[in-house]
Amino acid sequence: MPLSLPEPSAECLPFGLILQRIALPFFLFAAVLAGLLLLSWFLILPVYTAVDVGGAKHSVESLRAFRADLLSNIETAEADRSQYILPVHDAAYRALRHRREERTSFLSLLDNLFDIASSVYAQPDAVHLSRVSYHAADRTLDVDGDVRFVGPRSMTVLAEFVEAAKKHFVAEAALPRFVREEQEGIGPHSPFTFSLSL
Amino acid sequence: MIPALLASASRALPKHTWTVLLCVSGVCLLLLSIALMLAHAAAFHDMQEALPLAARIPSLETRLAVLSEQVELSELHAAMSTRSAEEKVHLYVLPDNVDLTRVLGFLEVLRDHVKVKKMLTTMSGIDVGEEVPVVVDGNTTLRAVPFTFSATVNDEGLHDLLETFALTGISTISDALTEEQYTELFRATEAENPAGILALERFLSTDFLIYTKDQRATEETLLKSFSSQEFRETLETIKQSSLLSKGVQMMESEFGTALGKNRLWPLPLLTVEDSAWSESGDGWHHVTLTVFAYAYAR
Repeated sequence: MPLSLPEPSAECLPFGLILQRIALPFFLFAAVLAGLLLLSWFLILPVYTAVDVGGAKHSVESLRAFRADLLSNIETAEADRSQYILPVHDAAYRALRHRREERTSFLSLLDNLFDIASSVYAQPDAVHLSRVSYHAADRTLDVDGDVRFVGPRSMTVLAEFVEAAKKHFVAEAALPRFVREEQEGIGPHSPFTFSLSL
Repeated sequence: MIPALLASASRALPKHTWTVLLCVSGVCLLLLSIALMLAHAAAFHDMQEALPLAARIPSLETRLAVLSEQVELSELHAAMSTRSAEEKVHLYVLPDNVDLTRVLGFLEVLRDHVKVKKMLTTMSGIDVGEEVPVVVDGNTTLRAVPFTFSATVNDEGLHDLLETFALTGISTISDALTEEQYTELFRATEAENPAGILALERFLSTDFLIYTKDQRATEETLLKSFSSQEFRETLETIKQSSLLSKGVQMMESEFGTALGKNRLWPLPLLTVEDSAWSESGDGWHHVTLTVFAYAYAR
């Protein structure tokens, strides 16, 4: 249906008039585009995006849900199998054993600490450990010792040792008091005490 | 019909209102189209994920079928089996009350073992502390009795002393394995012979003492159901990395014989709570250990 609009002058078309002329084509274009896309979304896309698994068609969403369902069923079946196969089901006993297995052994902690102490300086006995104690429940390691035979660099070597120990044992470290003392027979040395939280 | 509708609507409404209505509807439809185009793009993008996902599903379905079969078999078997291992744990490993005689008996045999081998020079008396509550699993509380003692040992003595505590509390083969280790064995059965899960169940339930006396026979009984080289290798790797081989070594030694002679096996479950090392000169070590023995908090 032609719209009966006043003849515009060639120089300047008012905005309202332009809008009136394009409104219907614009609406029709948008409606056709939206219609086609809706048609594609509901009828064409499901045909091309469905995946055939074991004879059944699945969309991506249902595939995800199906996989999550399978994984959860597998987890339940694994737990049931362990329950029937393992001879002891006592929860307290299992928890206690698990707690012990999770702990780091004192032997490996000692070995690591000695390795760090001997590798931190060219002279292997520069960092001398005199006492190491480990509290398994709160996972803290207390280290006492002395940096010696390195002349006036004892505090620097101590700092390197603490840094290396921190890097290896993670978590936190209560830094030692950095001091340098003179002792006959040993010369300048830095006694230390610090704690590492594993 | 639509052109007729549009024509009648344009006539019914004022021109200005009609134009505004068309523009607003057009914009809305255009926005809907943009949203649909983005949804199309997302759907095609998701297809990249869908194909690998679909490829994994048959293997998951197969695994679930195998697991269901194993659960069914083991459930039937569990209904017919006795719970002797569980009873043994309640009697000796984690009893209702800490059995001081058994704990002190074990520490005494351990001391004699390291002393005879000249790995220990001195060992202090053993202090038995007050019972303390210990929360082990967030909501499980046990009672623990601390035993504290010191010893002067050499390198070997230090290793023997500390490593032996890891072997306490073992009653069956399964107790010498970690969760990861027996899960690996379960998976190996799935791959080779799912029905062989019952043979694995018998293997894991075997009394550890019986296993140490005749490892070969126990293992061969299991391997009758799993003949592949892969399974043998998995079992061998697990034996070496678990407490099985250490436990066998211990039980085959004089120390193991002494434990058997004193009827101390299975040992109560002990954990080393506090350990302190200090140098003792000439390559000897002075260690002080606090060990917890547990009982149910009833």
